[in-house]
Amino acid sequence: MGLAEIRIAKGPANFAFIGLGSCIAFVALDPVADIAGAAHIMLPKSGQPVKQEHLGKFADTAVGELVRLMESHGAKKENITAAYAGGASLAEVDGAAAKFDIGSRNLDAIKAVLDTLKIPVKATDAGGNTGRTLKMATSSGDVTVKTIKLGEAVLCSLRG
Amino acid sequence: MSKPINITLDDIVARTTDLPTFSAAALEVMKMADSANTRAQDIARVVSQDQAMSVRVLRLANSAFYGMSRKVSSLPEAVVVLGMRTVKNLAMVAATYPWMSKPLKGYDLGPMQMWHHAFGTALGAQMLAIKSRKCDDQLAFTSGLLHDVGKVALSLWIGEKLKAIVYYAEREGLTFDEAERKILGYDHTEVGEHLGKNWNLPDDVLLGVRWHHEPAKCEPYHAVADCVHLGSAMAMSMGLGIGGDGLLYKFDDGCYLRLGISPDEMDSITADYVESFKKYESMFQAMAA
Repeated sequence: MGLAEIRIAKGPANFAFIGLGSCIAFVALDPVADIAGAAHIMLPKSGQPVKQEHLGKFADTAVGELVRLMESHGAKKENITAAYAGGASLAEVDGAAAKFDIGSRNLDAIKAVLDTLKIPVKATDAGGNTGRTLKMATSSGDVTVKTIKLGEAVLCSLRG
Repeated sequence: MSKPINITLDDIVARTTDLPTFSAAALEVMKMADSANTRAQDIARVVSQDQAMSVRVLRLANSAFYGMSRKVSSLPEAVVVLGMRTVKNLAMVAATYPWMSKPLKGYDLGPMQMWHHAFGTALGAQMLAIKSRKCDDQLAFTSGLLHDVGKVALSLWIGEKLKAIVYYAEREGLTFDEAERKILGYDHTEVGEHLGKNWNLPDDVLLGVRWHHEPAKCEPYHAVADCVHLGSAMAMSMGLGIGGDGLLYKFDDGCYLRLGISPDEMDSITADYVESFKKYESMFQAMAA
């Protein structure tokens, strides 16, 4: 998944987000319709009207657009569950530097948008100072996260 | 873990096999930036002294990124069409890409990841230099490109110890560079400066290498340290070449004040920055071909 990319898939597919910093890897699945989606979110808020091709950049536009795309292919919002990882920060980004703390602001923004859209989150691995790689296999629904300390581990399954 | 291992900076440079060398022609191009009397065709002449570099510069000039309507077939032509400053930057890219695109096991960086971080930092530092007008943008680009060169030398010595260093840093509440200093006796910025001096890199380029994690300690102050610091922070945040050391570094918010950039501007700068980086990826493909 490239920066700011939004992708959906019907049937078996693999999503991979290699080397996340403050960005958020967001994945969602409707197991009934067998439609999965992923978004590589860079920044918290768009602030101004966003062109269609830039909707994937921001937490406040990417999730809504992803759900809309999934629904347009037959998914039902009430069947969708999600997981996400990322949102890391550099050390000591507080005070005036908090504005640069893209990681924490991304996490706040995605929590708010998921609350509004009422999409349940199965699991997250977020924050801290670590880089992460997230992968999802839509056939099993397994979401894995790899970090330097823990290696690759299953975060959750979005099926069952 | 807290006892420094006994290798001097000289040892690191002398005893690390497979250390890259810096092209003499590239070094000359870099130093030409300092002279107001440099003529466009002097750049072409110097670049052409290194045949491998010349080939790569031409390949870059003809990459989709520049969207040329016809093929640029010689260095003098490239200088005319793209301008002297662009060709200088392309020479720096051509001189560093071959060894910076390789994996760095000690930092858990796969193929291209070190390169993405180096180029991402160079691009960010250049944008900030232009925006702040506090630093020559070409200097910021070159210094950003080379800022983590110490990691290339240290990678072999860190070897399998990366995970242990990360655990140690977290347990002791240290940043990764602080942990490097405790364990190795020096960090990758000091190794980078030492290696750069060995290569005869210009002093101002080395300021960004040495102080990119602690720009306020750059004495006397030079804005290149802040541009590279913030450029590197942007690259890390956007996940451009994140290694096992992750984001385990301090962010110095004083850089905003010193560069005269408002923290509120950072989101739009970062969004532009990523768009710009993505466009350059076509250039990397031309290089790898």
